[in-house]
Amino acid sequence: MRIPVQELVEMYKDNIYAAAFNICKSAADAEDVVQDTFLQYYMTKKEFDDEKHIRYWLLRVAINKAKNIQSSFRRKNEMSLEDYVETLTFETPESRELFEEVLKLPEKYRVVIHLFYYEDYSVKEIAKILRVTESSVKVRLSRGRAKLKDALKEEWEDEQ
Amino acid sequence: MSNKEKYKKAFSVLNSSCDFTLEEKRMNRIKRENTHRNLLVAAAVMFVVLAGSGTAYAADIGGIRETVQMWIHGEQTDVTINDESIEYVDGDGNKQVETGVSVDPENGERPLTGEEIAEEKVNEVDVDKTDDGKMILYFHDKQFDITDNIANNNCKFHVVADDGEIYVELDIDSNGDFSITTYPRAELFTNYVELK
Repeated sequence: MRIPVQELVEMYKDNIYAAAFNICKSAADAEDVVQDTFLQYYMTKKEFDDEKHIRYWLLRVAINKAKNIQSSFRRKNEMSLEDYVETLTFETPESRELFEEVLKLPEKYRVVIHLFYYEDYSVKEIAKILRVTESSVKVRLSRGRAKLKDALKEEWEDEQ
Repeated sequence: MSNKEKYKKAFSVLNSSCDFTLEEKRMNRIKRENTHRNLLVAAAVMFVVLAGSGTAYAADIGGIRETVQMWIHGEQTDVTINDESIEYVDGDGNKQVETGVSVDPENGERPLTGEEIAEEKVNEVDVDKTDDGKMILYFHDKQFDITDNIANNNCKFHVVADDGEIYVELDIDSNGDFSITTYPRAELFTNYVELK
């Protein structure tokens, strides 16, 4: 099946942006990832099983693109992370603190934490998206949670 | 509020301002621009590769040789093998540089080569105590929860991964600190737990 790209943009652009930003920590780079990911969908002739499959594919493509930008000379960094965070309107100071602490995590923990807590993917699904073993996802999730617990104290429930 | 709810609330501030205009005409223009950009990127990559070759040549005298993927502490990790060291970024994001020395009664001391250190590293056994008190043993791509074994004073293990096996003995003191000794064969073992 295929869903028209215009519908997908409305459905998933914020999810893709959030996943890409989580890796790049740059609004400009994350916007590029959103554009490039939908462009790749538009250009691919791939058939998908269902909407869930499309979402999974979009996120996997976006994460790979974000990682490529992260490790390349293409980085834009038009605005510093601190300046960008100042432009965001958080509902509470705790939300802002959580946001900032997540961005302090090493990238490999951030991605796993984001896919688990934001996208509601299971360990098994995250392992497939990132093409790593389930045990590796568990380790990263556990270490990421532990670091968040250390930083956020009672604002983060113990889930170990 | 659960952690998931808190996380979603915090990250809901991220909204793409992507103006993905949807007319076919514009999409085609983006396609062309993208192709053009890819060509530029390819040209730049070629430059980097050529420059990289120069670096590699220079590095043969005193530096980088190759990067390989290895299992370290249960995670697949990129490891750069230098002449007399290896380098990698650990699970906490810290850069690690490891060196080694070979002591031979006849020939004295010499630094281990990067390949020798990597060979040691790939067969290294790690044991980690997690925050919730579990003891996890790592070998190659495998990890085993050995908490119950240790509680029952079973501290000798035969660990089998897809591409290797090793015998491991943990020596745990009264403070809970431990040291790890490994053996390639079972001669010194009388009783051990099979971990597969």
